[in-house]
Amino acid sequence: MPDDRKFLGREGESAALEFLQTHGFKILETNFRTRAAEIDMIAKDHETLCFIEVKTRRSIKKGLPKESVTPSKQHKIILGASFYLKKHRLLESRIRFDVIEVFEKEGRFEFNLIKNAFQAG
Amino acid sequence: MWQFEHNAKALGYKIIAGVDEAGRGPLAGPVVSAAVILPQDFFCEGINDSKKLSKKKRDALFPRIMENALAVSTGLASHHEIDDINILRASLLSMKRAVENLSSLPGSPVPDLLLIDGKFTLDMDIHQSAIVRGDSKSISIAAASIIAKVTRDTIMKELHETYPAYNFVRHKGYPTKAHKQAILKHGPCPVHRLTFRGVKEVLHAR
Repeated sequence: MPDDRKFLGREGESAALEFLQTHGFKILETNFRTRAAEIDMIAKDHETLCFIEVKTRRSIKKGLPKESVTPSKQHKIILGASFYLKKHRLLESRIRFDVIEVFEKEGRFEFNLIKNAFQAG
Repeated sequence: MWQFEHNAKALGYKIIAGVDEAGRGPLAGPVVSAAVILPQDFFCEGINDSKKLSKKKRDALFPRIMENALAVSTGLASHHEIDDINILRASLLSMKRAVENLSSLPGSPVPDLLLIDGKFTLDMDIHQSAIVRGDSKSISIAAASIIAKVTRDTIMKELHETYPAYNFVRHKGYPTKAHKQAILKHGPCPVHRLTFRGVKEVLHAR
């Protein structure tokens, strides 16, 4: 990945983090990953544990960000969620898979939070 | 538990992946498979047939596999696909997807042999060996079995949020008395397997 895109990704993640916090999410983890699993953010929205994929884009030309959550990416998120739940013994928690789209335009960010962005089954 | 792996190494295979599925019996949700490549020194106390393992032990082994395996991947076939092509073929399809997803991991080793639970091999250009009751005979298949089961549980937990009337979080879609009663009461939901006994009769009666 070119440095510029990496930089945009990191900027997007920290902007998304702030956005989620101001909307009442309690951030529990960022960049939760193992060799096989990766989740950008894990947060609590009231009583629901949310596993959140952050998608940052400069334009919608390449398709909407949420469209880039490919099945194989979904598997990594589900594996990561399973790992997190087991590790912290959160067997009774309610869970959800969200995507937050971050659009950058001239140094400003816009957000679109999609709850239940994909259904695992 | 290492016999199959040791024999394969003696034959010259270097990277061996165990493959297993979970969720052929349930009336709802996907069938989920996993492929796992273990390091040679993986310590295996308590790993055996995951269906015979207590839930507690399985829960304890899951993070150990995730942390120590050389590669872990999953694949699934949806309730639609199960209805379309039948459960056996769908479960083989989910296994194939799990193996294909191994290669989507950066730097992940490519297996030169698959050890597959059951009677069937996959439609793939990799050497394979099907082992009946493999999850109690091969450590790699046992590990895949645990990953598949736990992953499927997570998926059913999430589906429970969308369709709470059936209590998927409790029975994971398996045909328990409570689940069958819920289907009778509410009818099938969009993730039920409509070709399965216990669902199709209700569908036809309504």
